Amino acid sequence: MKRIGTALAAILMIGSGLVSASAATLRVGIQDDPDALDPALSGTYTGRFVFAALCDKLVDISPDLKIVPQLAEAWDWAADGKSVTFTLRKNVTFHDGTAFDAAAVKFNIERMKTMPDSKRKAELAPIVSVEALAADKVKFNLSEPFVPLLANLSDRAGMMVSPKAATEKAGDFAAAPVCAGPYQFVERKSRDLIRLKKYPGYWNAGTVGYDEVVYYYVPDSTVRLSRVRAGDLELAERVAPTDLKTVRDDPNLTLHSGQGLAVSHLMFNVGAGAKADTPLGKNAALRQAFELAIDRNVINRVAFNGEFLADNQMIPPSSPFYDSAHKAPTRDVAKAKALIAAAGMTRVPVELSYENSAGDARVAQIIQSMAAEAGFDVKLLPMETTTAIERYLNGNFEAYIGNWSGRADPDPTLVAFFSCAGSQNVNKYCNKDLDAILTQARGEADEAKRKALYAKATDTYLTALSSIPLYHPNWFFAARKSVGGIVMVPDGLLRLVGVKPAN
Amino acid sequence: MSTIEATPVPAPMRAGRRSEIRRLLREPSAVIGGTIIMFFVVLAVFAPWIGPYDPNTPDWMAIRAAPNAAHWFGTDDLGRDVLSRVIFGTQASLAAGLVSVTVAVLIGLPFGLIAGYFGGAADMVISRVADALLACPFLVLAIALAAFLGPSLQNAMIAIGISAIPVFVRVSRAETLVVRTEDYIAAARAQGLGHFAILTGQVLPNVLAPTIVQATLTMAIAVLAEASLAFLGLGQLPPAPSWGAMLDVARQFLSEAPWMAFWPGLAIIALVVGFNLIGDGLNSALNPRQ
Amino acid sequence: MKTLLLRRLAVLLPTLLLVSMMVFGLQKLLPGDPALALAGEERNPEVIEYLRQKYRFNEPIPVQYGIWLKALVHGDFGTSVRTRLPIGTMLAEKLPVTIELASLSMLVALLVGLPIGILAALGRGTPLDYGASLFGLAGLSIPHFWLGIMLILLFSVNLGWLPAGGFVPPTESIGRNLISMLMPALVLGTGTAAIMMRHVRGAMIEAMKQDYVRTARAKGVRERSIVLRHALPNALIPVVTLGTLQFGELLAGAVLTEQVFSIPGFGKMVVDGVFSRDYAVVQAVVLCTAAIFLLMSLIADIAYVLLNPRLRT
Repeated sequence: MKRIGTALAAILMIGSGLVSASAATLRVGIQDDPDALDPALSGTYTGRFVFAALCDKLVDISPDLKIVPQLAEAWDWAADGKSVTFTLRKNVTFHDGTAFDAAAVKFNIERMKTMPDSKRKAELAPIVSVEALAADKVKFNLSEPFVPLLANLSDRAGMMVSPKAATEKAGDFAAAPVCAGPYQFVERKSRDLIRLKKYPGYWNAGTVGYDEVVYYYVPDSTVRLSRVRAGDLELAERVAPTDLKTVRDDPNLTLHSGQGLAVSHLMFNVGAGAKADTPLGKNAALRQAFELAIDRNVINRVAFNGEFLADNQMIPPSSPFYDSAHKAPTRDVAKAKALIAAAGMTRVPVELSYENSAGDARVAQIIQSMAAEAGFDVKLLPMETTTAIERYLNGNFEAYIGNWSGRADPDPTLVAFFSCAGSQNVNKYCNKDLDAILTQARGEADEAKRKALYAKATDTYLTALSSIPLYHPNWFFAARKSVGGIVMVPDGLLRLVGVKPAN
Repeated sequence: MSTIEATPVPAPMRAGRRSEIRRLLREPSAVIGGTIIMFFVVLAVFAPWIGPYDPNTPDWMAIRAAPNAAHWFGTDDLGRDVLSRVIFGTQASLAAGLVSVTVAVLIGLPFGLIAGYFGGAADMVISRVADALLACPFLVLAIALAAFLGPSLQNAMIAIGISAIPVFVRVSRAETLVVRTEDYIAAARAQGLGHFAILTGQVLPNVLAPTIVQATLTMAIAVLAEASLAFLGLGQLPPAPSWGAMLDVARQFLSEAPWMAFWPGLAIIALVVGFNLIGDGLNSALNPRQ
Repeated sequence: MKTLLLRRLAVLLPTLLLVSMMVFGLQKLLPGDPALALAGEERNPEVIEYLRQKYRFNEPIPVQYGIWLKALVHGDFGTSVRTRLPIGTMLAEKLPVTIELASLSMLVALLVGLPIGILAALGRGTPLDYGASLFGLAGLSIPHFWLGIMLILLFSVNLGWLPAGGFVPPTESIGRNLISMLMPALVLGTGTAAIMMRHVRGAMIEAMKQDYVRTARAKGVRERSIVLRHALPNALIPVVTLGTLQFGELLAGAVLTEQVFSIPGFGKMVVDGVFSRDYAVVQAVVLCTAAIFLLMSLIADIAYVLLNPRLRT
């Protein structure tokens, strides 16, 4: 037994010897296989994760959620808020060597607005036209004042691809994307890896620390971490909260953590079809009772080792627009029972649907158990991903654990979930007053006034409780000590500018 | 029944059921297997009395507690007693084994009889479809069917049952082909008996023995398949316990709570061993030639 | 021989066609519109409608099937709707991985199953034989995924000797490739080893009873030589057949093993395909597996005839 062990150890040493030979490679373990690698089509977090190395955007967000320059050096809003003019960075080239200029910006915005299966249409909807004023000046004309536009441009909607490559490759662009980021595309093996190499012509080339970046698809969080510990990977994204102790105890690893934008929330069907016809769907007081029956801190502690952020709002506390006046209520089973009694009931049945992931399955069972004490008979209905999405979109649920990735600006989140025609308003909550507040807020350039409007909106949706926010996940990356310069940003994307081998 | 008695009964049947049972009891594997299955049946039926705790009630103060005097097998990620969950989990696994195989036999057997007895076009169609089904990987078929039907224990059982149909078509067809040429079939036909009467009266009893052997062995496979589906999230609905689902959760806590992974797996093995042993014993007792 | 081959080949194609029809039909029954899953978090109705038309999700099923079949005849497996990568390329990447896994598992099965089976047959009724029976029973009864979990627990979590999962392509490092395949091959090979063992034991017992063994023994040939020269070659005939069939089973059985060890092979591809409603992917993988399976049983039949002198005419 001992001899086998020694032999294995020897083999492993040889193996690891081969690894360290290619020192300037950054190997990153990602949880999902990204979908199409085209900013216009991408719909996954890991897709954005890879884009962070591949495709620069017009603007970026900083760790404190401020808009900062990237491919655009400066921008200037018109007095009426109905147009914005960008001054572009000079001497920027795409990975195919073609120049980035105002014409390229115009091409990109128009591509994302007109491509039939573009997923960026909603984000860019307020843009009516794009004018290339000079090689380095481009003007976006808007249909209405729309302050959140810049935040949208800090994500995929603002990513610039090479017009030449996009035109030539058309439908095959996603198989070999050409952008203007610090690393350029080399190869992709589906469900396995994506390989990028340093782009020598990058406008900020001095900050590029590795020759090569490889993203490995390693779905299992424990496996991802163990491979970082073994030195097979330099970094693993989304380490499970239960594994954080291992990371903290390992002298070779650093835990990089940060607050996120995402929110997990319990949606009640209040107006979508037959499934809205339930006691909880019809009565806000019962939904309030439900909120009182659950303890967000227990959910956080039991399901996530207390490593996430228990909270009652859709907008995370990391946002400047978070409303600290609305605190999460503490658990009060007696009061919940009283509210149920006041509604003339003793037991309240509800069917809770969710996507069958490890985290949601735990949360659902914890909620079921706690709510039962107050008088809610929660029936659990786990579904595999595709079925879950379909039921969700069709409003075919009584209650649903929604997971929203969040946005840098509060507007997209609140409009999507609470405006009458919101794209995520699948449980069909509708309040014209709230719609008016949200519309006013997106045109309000003054930050303090805007914040006051969002406080009003928060008060409204927390009273109706068509959705009970539960927690905000935090980001956890485990990286080897040899990787320096990692900065956590609430969008949870690994920016590679400035990341380089330490020491 | 009387008409069946009146017709010549094939020789193997004449030997009588009693001697077969006696032969079975002389097979040690059958006895051990039978004991194991009885043990699990008792566990499943009397779970509410045997299980020390309610299997679905969490204890927030005892999350992933190591095995101790209060919880012999430890607790899981929600503080539920693993021993109780293993005991109650027997119900899902046993049901999966029995129901899915029953579904497969009830559908597969008649088709096999028809194919073997009538031959010709019917045999052609049935055999080709069965071949095609057999060529598809069993588990992939079951996964796709279970995904189509939606996650629940009942649907998992149906999915497994359907996937196992071709096995029984094959077995009963092959046996029917042999029986069809026997003299007593010709005799029965000469007596003017209809096809249905011959199929149920003469052919079926002879096809039954190999089918029972196959069914027992398939139950072992069905239990494994149900655990696999549950492992992929396509089985028993939570919070009700199922061994496969318990293993799926346990996998996330391998370093912190290895006991969560150990016991459900052991239970699956024991039950599957039980079915396999009975199958082997039945095989020796009912097919003494082999 | 030739007629057998021709007859079997003639059945192969219609069976595959039938497989494809059934898989196609089954998939179209699955709930969940792939267009919705593809439309991303915003789910613009226009985009959803466009996707439906682009991938012809709206057409009647027979029409969709016809389109698919026509492309297939031209060697085009279609495009994965999720990653937009050609499925032919995906298959070419994944198939070698699973074949490697299946081959290594077969190696494990042979290395374990053959010697134990032979020894058990020779020492019939001894404790060794009972031990072998126990192993055979265990091998058939242990769920792959549990064995995988237990091995990970032992060798990765507790001892830290082996990686807990993941796949290193042989092009990167053959040594590390084999290390990453060690536990999966062990897990997948155990069940096959048990089946092998049982058959080898049976065939060996049968062979030892044959006349030529008795004759050799009467001639005073040493027992060792009897076993190796006379009994074993005959006992191996059914084993070759079985091994070929089992290889097909291994390819199909890799599903959960690949899942547990995160190996990007066929099994993982098909499970992910079912869950993401990537119809064309599921279709292609099942068809390939079925084709390999049928081909293997054809080879098994041929091998049986070739190796069996009595059947050769």
